[in-house]
Amino acid sequence: MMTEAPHISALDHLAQDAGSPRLVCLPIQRGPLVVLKWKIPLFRSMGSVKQLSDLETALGRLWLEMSHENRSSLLGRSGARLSFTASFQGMAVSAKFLNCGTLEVVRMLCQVLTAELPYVMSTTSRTASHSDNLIGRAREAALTIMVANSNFRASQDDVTSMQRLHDVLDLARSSIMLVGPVHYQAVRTVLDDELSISCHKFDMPPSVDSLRPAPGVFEFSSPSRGNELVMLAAPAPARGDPNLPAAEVATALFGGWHGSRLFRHLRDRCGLTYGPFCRIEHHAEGALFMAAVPVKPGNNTIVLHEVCSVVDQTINYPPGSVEVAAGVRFVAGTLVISLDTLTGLASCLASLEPRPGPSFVNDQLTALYAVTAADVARTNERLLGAHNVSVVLFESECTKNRQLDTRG
Amino acid sequence: MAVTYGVGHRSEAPGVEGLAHLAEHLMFEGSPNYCRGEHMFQIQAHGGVCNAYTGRDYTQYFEIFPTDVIELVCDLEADRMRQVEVTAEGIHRQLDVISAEVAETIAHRPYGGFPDLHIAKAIFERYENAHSGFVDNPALRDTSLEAVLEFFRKWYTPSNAVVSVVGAVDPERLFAAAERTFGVVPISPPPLQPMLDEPLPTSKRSIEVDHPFAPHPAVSLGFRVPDPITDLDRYLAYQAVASALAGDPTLGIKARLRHGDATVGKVRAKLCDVDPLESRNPAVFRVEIYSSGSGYPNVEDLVFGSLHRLATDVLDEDKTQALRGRLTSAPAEKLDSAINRARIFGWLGLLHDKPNILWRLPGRYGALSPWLISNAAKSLSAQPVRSVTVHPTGR
Repeated sequence: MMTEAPHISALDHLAQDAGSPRLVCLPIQRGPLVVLKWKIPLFRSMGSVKQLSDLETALGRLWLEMSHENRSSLLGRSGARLSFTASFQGMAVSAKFLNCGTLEVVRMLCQVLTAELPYVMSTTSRTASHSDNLIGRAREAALTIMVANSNFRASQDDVTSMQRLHDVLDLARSSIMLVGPVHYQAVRTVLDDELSISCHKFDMPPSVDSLRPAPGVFEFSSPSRGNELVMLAAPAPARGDPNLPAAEVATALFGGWHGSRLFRHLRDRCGLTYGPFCRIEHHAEGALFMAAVPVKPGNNTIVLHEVCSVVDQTINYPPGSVEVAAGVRFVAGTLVISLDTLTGLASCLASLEPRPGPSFVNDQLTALYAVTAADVARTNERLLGAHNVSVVLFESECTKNRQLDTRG
Repeated sequence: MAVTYGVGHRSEAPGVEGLAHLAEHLMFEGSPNYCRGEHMFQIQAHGGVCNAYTGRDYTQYFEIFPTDVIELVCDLEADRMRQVEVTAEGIHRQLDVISAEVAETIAHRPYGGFPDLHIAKAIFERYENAHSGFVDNPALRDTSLEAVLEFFRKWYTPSNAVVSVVGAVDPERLFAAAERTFGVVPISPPPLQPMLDEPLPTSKRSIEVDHPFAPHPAVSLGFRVPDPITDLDRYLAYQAVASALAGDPTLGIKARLRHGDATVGKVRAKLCDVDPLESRNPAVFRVEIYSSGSGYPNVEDLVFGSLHRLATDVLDEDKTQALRGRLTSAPAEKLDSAINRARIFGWLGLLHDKPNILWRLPGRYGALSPWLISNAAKSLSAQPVRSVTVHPTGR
């Protein structure tokens, strides 16, 4: 069994409420650092990655400008560093700062998130150094392929038309996680003061369709990139599904760690790739199984062939009890290690909806240790079967040039 | 746990660029008691994670694991410290993996390798300082097995390594395990570290790089800084300048951008590659400016103008406090992670021989005076322009 991470016992002191926005505080006295995560749903769906990127840029600039124009010495001394990450699921604000400025940071953040947008977004506003992320593009492609009616991404509204962030950010249904030396009641008071007028519900976000299997091969060109990518994608058990622990272990054993079949075959035996990875991600539309293999130009075909051979082998010769036990320890260890840092704890709390109880880590560990080899074999057949898997290929040459909605 | 060896890219001889990185990969090929791949398998199968990194002055192997397998982890690390099972086939296999790694992380990525691959070449003259070791070097395929083994014999010895362990581990149990495992590894004399000293640059130099995957132009300026080991307080003042240049809209480059240079996107400034404390002398101070469109920003004007302002307008108390706050909060975040603490102790033990200076860093940042920061800016602004410019050629 894993040794328990020291922070897990701190979860007994979790303080939370169901207010608007919801506040979750985990007081840990280990040093001056405080980590904040603020998850904010979007009212209006963004039509493109560029619009999301524009929103990130706008909020980043607002923070810089407003926090310096209204700089108090406490805010300055806190050394606050913020990042804004917009995705189709919503806006995620991440902040790290020294606890002397906790209330000032929360207050200033409230003012930024309810401000008017002073910038006109243009086609050149996106930070040019943003690295083009092939795996991110493949993920979006897979989600689009597997969502039947993709109205979630259909809006073509441009961010230039936004006048107030109220129109975009649904602060009333947002959640704030604070981990570190923090006082719940003091933060709650600041939130109530700053956001009492802003937390109106203007409308409901668009309905989201769930993922469904879309078996086939989907090829995309990536003319601006040199690398190619082979990705297997499939719907997976979502949070709360009793099959999720077995699916997590099966995913790890297939390609999620250095001892996995995909890693050992593609990297150790064939030297075909440096960093294959495999995991289950949880999105608004459902859980997505992804096995991604970045490859050098020209190697897509051979890598796809080898990936398919590992899939066949995994289904026909499923892991035995020793391999499964190692996989269980790896997945359980990854969970515990992720709680080693304040950032990891905040991310973990942010991923749990609606109200995490203090026992959620031990509940997850218990479920993982109950996974058997038979569970994993059954999961492999469901998860990796040809009826369930979409193959997403990104090629470096513009040879196929197919559209996103083309079905294989 | 981190095991840090005093060997890195600056230890490489001409012609074998990338040998230190290859050695890092070969350390996972097996050792007398553990077969190929078993190191990672053992760590991860016990619920841990592990990885390795090759820097300019060190190579580091690090793992995080449950404390009840501390003896196993000591044995895994000591076994490969004693001997690595290297074969010609293993060398070629790992060169294939490195080729894929370089392709994925540098050769075929937007801005891949910028400015890391070229900035040292712009600033330094000596081969040891100027070359890059993170490369796919075909010449290594002709390197003999004996030459690789000799590299291990020279550099991978207990006298050139530091083992750092953090976490809820019983010290008696740890030292007993270390004695049983690391304690029996044969010791050879510490290797002679390469001569790295060289005079400050006196003339301009600019390196132009065509990049097929860069969407827009980008420019980096490189500078020399005081010795990070013998002159740490003055060195840390340069970190304050980096923070002001890139992070403060009222002091640095962003303040000048307010007056309108629409061609500038992201701005970065920092010391070294990963962490300011990871380098021997000479170390590098660099500023990176990415264009937001097809135009080329006037980088020299932006950077030297900001440095001049920092050098001449002595900071007021609020601005100095804000800089100190930023400098203190970033390490606080790093130190929150056990694996980062082990890694930083490894650098400090190996390069500074004083791991405990880590706990005094907040005090040192708090003591940085406006005068020290302004002097650092003055010294940077007096150096000749050494730059790397990326020209996009692909789109």
